Amino acid sequence: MMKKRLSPAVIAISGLFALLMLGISIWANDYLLTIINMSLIYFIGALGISVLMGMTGYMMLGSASFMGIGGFISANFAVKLGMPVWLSIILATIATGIIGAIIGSALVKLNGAFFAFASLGFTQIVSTFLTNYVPFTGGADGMQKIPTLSLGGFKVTSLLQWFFVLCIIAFGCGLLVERIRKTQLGRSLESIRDNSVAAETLGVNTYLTKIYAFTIATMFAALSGALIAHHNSVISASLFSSVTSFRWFMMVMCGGVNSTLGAFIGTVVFTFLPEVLRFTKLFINMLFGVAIILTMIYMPDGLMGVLQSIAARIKNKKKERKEKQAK
Amino acid sequence: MTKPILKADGISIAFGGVVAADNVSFELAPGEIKGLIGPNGAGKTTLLNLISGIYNTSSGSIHIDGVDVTKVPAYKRARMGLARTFQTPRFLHRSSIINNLLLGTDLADQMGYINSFFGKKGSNFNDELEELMEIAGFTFDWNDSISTMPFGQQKILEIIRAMLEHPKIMLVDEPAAGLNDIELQRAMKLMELATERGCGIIVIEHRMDMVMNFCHNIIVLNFGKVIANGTPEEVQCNEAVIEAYLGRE
Ligand SMILES: Nc1ncnc2c1ncn2[C@@H]1O[C@H](COP(=O)(O)OP(=O)(O)OP(=O)(O)O)[C@@H](O)[C@H]1O
Ligand SMILES: [Mg+2]
Repeated sequence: MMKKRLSPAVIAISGLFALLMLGISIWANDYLLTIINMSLIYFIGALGISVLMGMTGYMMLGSASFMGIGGFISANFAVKLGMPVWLSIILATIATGIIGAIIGSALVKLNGAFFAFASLGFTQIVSTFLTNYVPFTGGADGMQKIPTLSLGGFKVTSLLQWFFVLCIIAFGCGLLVERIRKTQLGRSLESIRDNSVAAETLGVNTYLTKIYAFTIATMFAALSGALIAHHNSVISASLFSSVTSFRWFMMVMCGGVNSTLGAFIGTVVFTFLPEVLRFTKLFINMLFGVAIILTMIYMPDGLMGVLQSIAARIKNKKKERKEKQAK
Repeated sequence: MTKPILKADGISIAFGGVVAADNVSFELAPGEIKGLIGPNGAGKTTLLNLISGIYNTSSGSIHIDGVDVTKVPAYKRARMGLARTFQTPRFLHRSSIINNLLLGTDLADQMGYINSFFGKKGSNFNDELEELMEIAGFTFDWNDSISTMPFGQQKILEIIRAMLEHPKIMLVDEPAAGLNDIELQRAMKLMELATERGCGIIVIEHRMDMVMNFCHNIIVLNFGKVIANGTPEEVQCNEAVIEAYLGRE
């Protein structure tokens, strides 16, 4: 009944990505690579939002703060303690996860809009802290000369090398989230989202499970923050404001909140659009606003939702045709 | 009599002025089917909510398999083998049918998120489901959304999900509502299979023909109070029951 088989869609998408990677490695210039790398990094954090918002139904407006915490912890470990960068990234992710679990244990008691506002409030607190606590963040100047990643003697220096490293990390993270979706944790999270009373009677410890989801979201945000720090070799607190939180939130909403591919599409579109629309200058935020309103009205499940409904329609047509033939 | 699998001892709850459960006591044996009847608003669903831990009782105690669960949260009671269905089915409406059912198997296996993540084998979901669906007598594209499913089949599917949990106790709220006679027969067959496996069942039902033929024992509630408790024959002749159903002359 549930045989595992690679569907044609999966094969087609993988092929497309392979071609895309090849094309990028041949033709992309540094400007383009920077944008692409940024969208990959934001995609990793968007995965966390997708887990917490798409699977669990909790509207997360605090991602940027955990991104900042992760970024600065990793930068400090590498700069001040001389730690190998791969280790500082991992430790920063774990440390932020612990902070996330503590914050989460308070926040997930709230529901709906209350949770969203509380997570936004948290962003404001962290953003103020990061901007002003000079020993940890360098204050308004931020931190410079953050070492780049090196793996087993191989130093990741060029943007293209970073591109491949980020592809691997992003792919791994995507697989992780897909695995969560298909196993007990994913189902439990979805049960909390859709019907928390039923979830409890199905043996789901909803409180603890929500903390897990929150922690996972903060860890993905932290990972992307740490990657940004070492990729750009500079970071400053101004990046980790509520504006970034909102933009991240919008990426995931417009791409498709409950889908990994949707998160990917959303981040890519929303990192490229500002560049493409640069000529509109001040109007860009207005255009974004309009885009979001239209998305919410006409495609509440985001771009991915549109793709899925097209796929479903094709499937139904096929089924009908088969049934007709059977007759 | 065998040791009761479920025991309620003087449990009560009030909502504002409405006493929805008033000092209710009963015992449920393994393999027993107990009918719970009473007029609308008598407190039947409320009683199931108290037993499953959605509401907390304000007095008395509840024991599952000899363990006091009066203060134990709902999810832990579920893990002790307490399954239930709802008057209006409660599913994950944005998820696939298969995911909804797998949650039942997850509860039966209780392997934890990490083990599940790394692909530890649990009970054989496919075979169990096939066996149950054969009795249920309908089939679906399991990857479809649950919202595409008719109400009656959702009610049956909730019983199936409960059975996938390998429960010791099943609380079933109005299974017949929205089912035609054939579907009802099938739902009863499913519940009988559960009792053969040693499960004790409490079933709320308005259809008297079903209640009288199907249940071993019956509890009658009115205004939150137990007004009769016994075999179908005993209950049918009970003065208070006739009064509650037909009204005072
Ligand atoms: N959460 C609640 N808050 C306030 N009052 C409640 C609540 N739950 C139940 N009640 C009240 O308790 C009483 C019993 O309700 P309950 O749903 O248990 O009845 P029932 O016997 O299941 O009825 P029905 O046959 O209509 O399903 C009703 O008066 C109802 O209004
Ligand atoms: Mg009821």
